Amino acid sequence: MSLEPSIESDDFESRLPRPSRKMSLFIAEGFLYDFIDEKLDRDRKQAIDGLLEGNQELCTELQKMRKAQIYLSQLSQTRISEKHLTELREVKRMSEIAINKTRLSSWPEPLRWAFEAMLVSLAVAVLALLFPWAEMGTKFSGLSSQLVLNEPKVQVTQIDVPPLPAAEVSEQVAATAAPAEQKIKNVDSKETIAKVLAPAPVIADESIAEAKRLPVTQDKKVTKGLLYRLKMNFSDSESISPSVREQILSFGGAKAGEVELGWRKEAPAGNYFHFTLPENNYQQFITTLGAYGPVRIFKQPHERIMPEGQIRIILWIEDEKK
Amino acid sequence: MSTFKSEFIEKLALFYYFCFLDEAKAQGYTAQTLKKINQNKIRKTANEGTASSPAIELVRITQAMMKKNKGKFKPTSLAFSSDYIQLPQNSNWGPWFEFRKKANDEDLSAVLYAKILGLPEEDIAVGLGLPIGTVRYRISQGLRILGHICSPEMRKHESRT
Repeated sequence: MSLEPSIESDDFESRLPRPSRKMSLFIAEGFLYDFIDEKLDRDRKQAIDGLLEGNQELCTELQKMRKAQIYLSQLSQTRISEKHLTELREVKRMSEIAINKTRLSSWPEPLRWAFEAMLVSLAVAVLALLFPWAEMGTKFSGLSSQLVLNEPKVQVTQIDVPPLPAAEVSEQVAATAAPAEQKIKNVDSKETIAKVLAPAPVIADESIAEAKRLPVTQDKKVTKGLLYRLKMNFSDSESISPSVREQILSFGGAKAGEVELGWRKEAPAGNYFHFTLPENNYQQFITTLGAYGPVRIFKQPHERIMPEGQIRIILWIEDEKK
Repeated sequence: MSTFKSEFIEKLALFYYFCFLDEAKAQGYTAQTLKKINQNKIRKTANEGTASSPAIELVRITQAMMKKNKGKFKPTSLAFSSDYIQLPQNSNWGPWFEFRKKANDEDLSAVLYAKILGLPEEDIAVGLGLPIGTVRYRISQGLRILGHICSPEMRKHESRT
């Protein structure tokens, strides 16, 4: 006899005469769920019914299972709320959930404001660091004039040398060809003027002219006066210094600085003449000085204004480096 | 189609709720499972039912998750809020909580699929890869345990006799 549960019983089989089934308690317990679910064939159902009448234990077991069924059918009414279902329906990726959680709108108000303020200040700081301020300064001239405090200003003086008479040119050539210092040693100062009619070439050399940085923002009075700076190079400046001093004095020059005319200075070695001279004698003095050698002249704007007809000169005769 | 998907999601969420009895955990696992469904071909099944029935897929997915997270599916406390779950009137979660602790995972999931989620037993059997008789046996075992928990008077009577 097969104990396999058969859900559908054949009509033919059901019509056949069968002896009543005898079922053990153990088997009956196994079929209790099918009995509750009404999935047993008629014979088995009858067999279990018979056992239930006389067996309290099986009855209790059946009641328990029915109770459990009822309890479960009650629990099966549990539903997920629509709100939560909507949330779950929108679940796509964990990253999106994380983004939603960190969305700024869901933050507390003070925290949000603090975060926004921090972002703005950070952006301003980055902008300030990356902004080309230097380029902006050059683009706006008004701004640049305020930024530049000093501006170099070079003043170059071109001295007109009077043309030489043709007859004296050869004499000048001869004079310049001979070593100048020997020649000067032998002649008197007045004689030099007579013989050397043409001065040595006086160079207004822009390249070696010193550039004086003038403060643009200062008052204009500083540029009113002029200081004449004369510079010469000589192999032995000390030897011609007395002669030059005499020349200065002869042209009406007078000591202007703290030191005597022809003050000897070391490192760099040379002689220093700081003096005032009548303006009328200036040209003649330069010509005379040209007899000793090339003279570089440049005029330097100075705040000190000299009396009318007087000029202030600083002559520096420097030893030539050997 | 969207209604079907909602039903699927609800059943999935309920499965995890009844397993964990913890709202937060259930939400996390449901979201994780849905993410996996969205990322692979299970999505087609869940939405359209082309490859196999959604009930079978539900069983397969949840069983895979249970195996993957074995030992983590035990409840520690009851944690529900009315915002997320609508409980039936006069519901008593005590017996289920006890059942969840006493029953093994096989019996529990069989009862859960069949009696709570209302999935057809044939689909459960296919999903679990077991004969239908084994599934019914597991349900029967689960019902016995739960019935025992649900009947304290009977237990007292049994202890006396």
